[in-house]
Amino acid sequence: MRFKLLIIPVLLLFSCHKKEKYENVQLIAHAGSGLNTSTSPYHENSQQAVTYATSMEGIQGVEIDIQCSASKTMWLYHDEYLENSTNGEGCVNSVEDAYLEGLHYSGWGSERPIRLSELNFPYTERRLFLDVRAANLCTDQILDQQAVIQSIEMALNGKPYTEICVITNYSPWIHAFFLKGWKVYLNVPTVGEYLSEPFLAETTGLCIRSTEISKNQVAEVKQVGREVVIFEVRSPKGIRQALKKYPDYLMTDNLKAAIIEKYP
Amino acid sequence: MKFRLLLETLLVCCLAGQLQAQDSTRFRYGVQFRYQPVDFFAGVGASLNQKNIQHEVQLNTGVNSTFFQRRFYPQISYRFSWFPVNRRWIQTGPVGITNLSMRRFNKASAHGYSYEEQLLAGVSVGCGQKSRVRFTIAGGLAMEQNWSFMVQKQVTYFSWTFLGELSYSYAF
Repeated sequence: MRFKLLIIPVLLLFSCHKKEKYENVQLIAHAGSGLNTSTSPYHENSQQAVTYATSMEGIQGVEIDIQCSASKTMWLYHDEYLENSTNGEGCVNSVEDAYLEGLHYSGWGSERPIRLSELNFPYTERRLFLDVRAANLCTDQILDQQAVIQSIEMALNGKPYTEICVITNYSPWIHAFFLKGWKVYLNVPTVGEYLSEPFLAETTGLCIRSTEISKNQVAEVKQVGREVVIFEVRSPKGIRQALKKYPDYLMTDNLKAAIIEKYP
Repeated sequence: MKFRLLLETLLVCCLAGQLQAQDSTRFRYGVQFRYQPVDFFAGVGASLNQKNIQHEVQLNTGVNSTFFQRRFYPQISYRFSWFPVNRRWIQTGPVGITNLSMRRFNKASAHGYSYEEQLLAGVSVGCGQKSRVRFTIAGGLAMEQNWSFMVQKQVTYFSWTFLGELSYSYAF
């Protein structure tokens, strides 16, 4: 009798769950295999993190943050300042390649910042999103966009990519990226700001925090023929809520939790 | 009762070679809650105490995965403790922990399983004799085996990990 009583709550826990289909939502690993998250075994934007994410069935792409060094080379790095997560100092944009080569990420692991050209990525199997930084915070200056474009092209030269997807939060850069034939995603704080963007027609979509967009707004953006990338989703609850908005891409920091929620 | 018997049998079988005198051993049973980077784990454990040495077997489950995502995430853990300080009200010393866990994270794939093995070393501080509360921190090596979609085979990823654990046990 006691055994039967125990079975009832267990059955309730595992069976009363409506399975939803999110086949059209593509899962993208944020900053390699997650940004500032304990669920990723590797440091953000490292080769190890990218390899870990791309090998996982259920992850359709990876987003990485890239910054242009003083030597005009693109490096994978997220933070504004090097001292935030490496043994170096200053900004990526202000230091030469030789300096960046000697750095390693803080923590127990052996990960280090790498050049975009060094990145080993399965371009034909997975989609790569490049989050391009436009400003040098050490000098408070906007970078030369043509130099950045040339650096990206040089880094990807010879790689078997089919398209280049860039994310930027600096709208004056949209036009030049668009002219190169790249897919441009504008990172904005609100949907209203995106829909009133003068260069809206030259963007492929918007990139926005999950808390800043509703299901109706996702539909609204899709109605004007644009794609939606939702980011900053970590907890199972947050992932579930984001999936229910049916974006085109869900940029997640918790890969396994996102796969579990996508295929319940 | 059956569960207790099972745990005792398991412990005795594992440690048969180390049992010296029945009167110097003592069984403890308890519950624990541990934080690890991949999840919070909660579970039950049984231990065999011989003077300053303790062998413990734990069965845990990942709380987030199991209860908030309905995906069972079991973990079996063995820990060896040595208490150079073993007084009535305080016990402290180094611990060695090994964890094995498994989770099916992708139901859409036949290979959507993840296997994790961890080997950790740390320290623990316990308080109480018959009824004991213990806190443990440990760090060490983690290995994770996933099926790699890219190379179409099982791949091992090495990384560092840690845990913090709070447990309560009772000696019978």
